[in-house]
Amino acid sequence: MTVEIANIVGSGDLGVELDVEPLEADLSTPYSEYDPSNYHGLYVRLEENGPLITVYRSGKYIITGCASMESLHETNEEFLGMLADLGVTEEDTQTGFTVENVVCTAMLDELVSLNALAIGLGLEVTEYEPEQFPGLVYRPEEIGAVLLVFANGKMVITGAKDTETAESAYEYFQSKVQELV
Amino acid sequence: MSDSTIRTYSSDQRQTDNDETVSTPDEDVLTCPECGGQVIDDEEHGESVCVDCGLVVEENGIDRGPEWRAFNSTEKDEKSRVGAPTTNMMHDKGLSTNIGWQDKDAYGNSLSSNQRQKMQRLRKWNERFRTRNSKERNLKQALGEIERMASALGLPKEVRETASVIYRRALSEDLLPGRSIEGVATAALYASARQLSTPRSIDEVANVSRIDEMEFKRTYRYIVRELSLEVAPADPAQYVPRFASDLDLPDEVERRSRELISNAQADGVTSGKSPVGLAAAAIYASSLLTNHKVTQSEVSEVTDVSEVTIRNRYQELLEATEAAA
Repeated sequence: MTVEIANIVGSGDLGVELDVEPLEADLSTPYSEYDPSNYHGLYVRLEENGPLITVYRSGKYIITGCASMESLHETNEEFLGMLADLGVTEEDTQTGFTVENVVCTAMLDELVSLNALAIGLGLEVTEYEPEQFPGLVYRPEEIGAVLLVFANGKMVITGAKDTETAESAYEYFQSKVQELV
Repeated sequence: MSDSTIRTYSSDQRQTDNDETVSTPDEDVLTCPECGGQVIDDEEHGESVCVDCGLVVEENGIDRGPEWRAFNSTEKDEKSRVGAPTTNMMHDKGLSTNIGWQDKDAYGNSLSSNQRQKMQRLRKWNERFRTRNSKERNLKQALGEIERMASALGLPKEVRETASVIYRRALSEDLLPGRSIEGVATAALYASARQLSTPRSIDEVANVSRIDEMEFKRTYRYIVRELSLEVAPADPAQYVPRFASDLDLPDEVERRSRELISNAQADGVTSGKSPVGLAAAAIYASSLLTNHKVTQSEVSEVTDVSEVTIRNRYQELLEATEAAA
C-alpha cells in the first residue's frame, strides 16, 4: 500500500476550565509557548519537534503532528498523566479523545491530465482552478475524505476520520481513474 | 401571451388523453394521432398538418408575430407597440416604467415649474416603489455592479445575462448572508464568462471589482460549489485572441500560439498550469517564431502574468513542440 500517513489530528476535552498562563509556568516540557497577543491557545510539545498540543482556556485540547496512531495516543496518555501529576485534572478523567483528521500522501500509478480528470470525475464533485491552485480537489460524495491530485501524480488525502477511510478513498480513486483511462 | 401558452398546454393534454396509441411523452405534438407521421406547421393557413396522411391536427392557430410590417428601424420604432423584451439584467426584468428626466411633455414642450416639481416628486415615489423591499434593492445594486464590471471588461450581453441569472439563483438559495453583494456579483460574472468560453483572468476581474482578490476567489469557489455550476477548466487558447489584439500582433502569431498550446496539451505539460500563463507564454514564443518580436515585459503588462512565469512556460512550450516534431 502506497498510502503514507503524514499527519493525524486528535482532540479531547479535559472537562475543567483552565488558567492557561500559570499552567505554562508549571509545565516542565521542552517546549511551551503562550502569547495571547499572537494566539489565545497554549502550545506544548512533549519532546523537541514532536507532536504539538494546543490547550485552550475552555479545557479543550488538540494534538497535531503525529505520524501514527500509536504516537497520537502515546502523546495523549503522557499529556494527561502530566496534568494529573500537576493536580490540574483527576487521575482518570474521561476526555472523549477522538481522531479528527488523518492526512495522507499517496502516489498515482500513472499520470493523468487534470483537465480530463476534472471532466471525467464530474465537474460538480471536482474543483480544478489552475489559475488559483495547481491541484485538483476531488470530493467524492460516497467517501468521507477529500483528495488533492497534482499534475505529477502526487496526491494528498485529507479530511478522513481514520486511516481505513483514507485508504479506501485512495482505492476508490484508483478504481475511478482506471475506469476513465 | 400567457393565455395562449396555457391553451396550448391543455390541448396537448387532451390529445394524449384521447389517443393512447401515440404515447411518446417526449414529443411536442410532433406526431400525427392517426398515423404517427410527422406534423408540420403550415403558417400560411394557421394549421398543423400531418405530412403523411394530410390530417389537420390543429386549425386557426394563433400568429404571435406583429400584424404590421416595417422596412426600416424608424418604421419599426413607430409601429411597434411593445417595449424591450424582458431581461434578467434588471432587477424588475425591465417590466416597470421609468419617468424620463427631460421635464418635457409628449409634444416636446418644456413643463411649467409647477409641473416640474410635481414630476420630480412623482419620480422620487416611482423610484421608491420600483424597489420595494431589501431583496429588490440588493438585486438592483448587484445587477448594476455586474453591468459596470462587464462593460469595463468588454463582456458581451449574453455573459451579463448569464451572470445575472447566476446571481439571482444565489440570492434565491440564500447564499448571500455572510458574503458581500459585490463579491457574489463578481463571482457570478467570472463564472458566466468562463461558462460562455470568453474567460477573463482572475486578475482582470479583480482589477475592476470593488472587493479584494482573496474574497473574490473564496466567493467564487463557494458559489460554484453551492449552485453546482459546471465550469469547465478554461482553455488557454481562449485567451489568445484577446491578448494578441491587445499587443497589436497579426493573425499569424495567433495561429502559431494556438499550435503551440495544442502541442503542449497533447504532450500533457499544461496540466496544473495556469491557462493565462500558458496563453501569455504562447504569445511570446510565437511572436519570436514569426518575427513580430514583443518583449516579455510587454506581454507581462498586457496579461498580468509575471515575466518569470512567461519564461518558464515558454521553455516548456518550445520543448513540447520540439518533442511533437
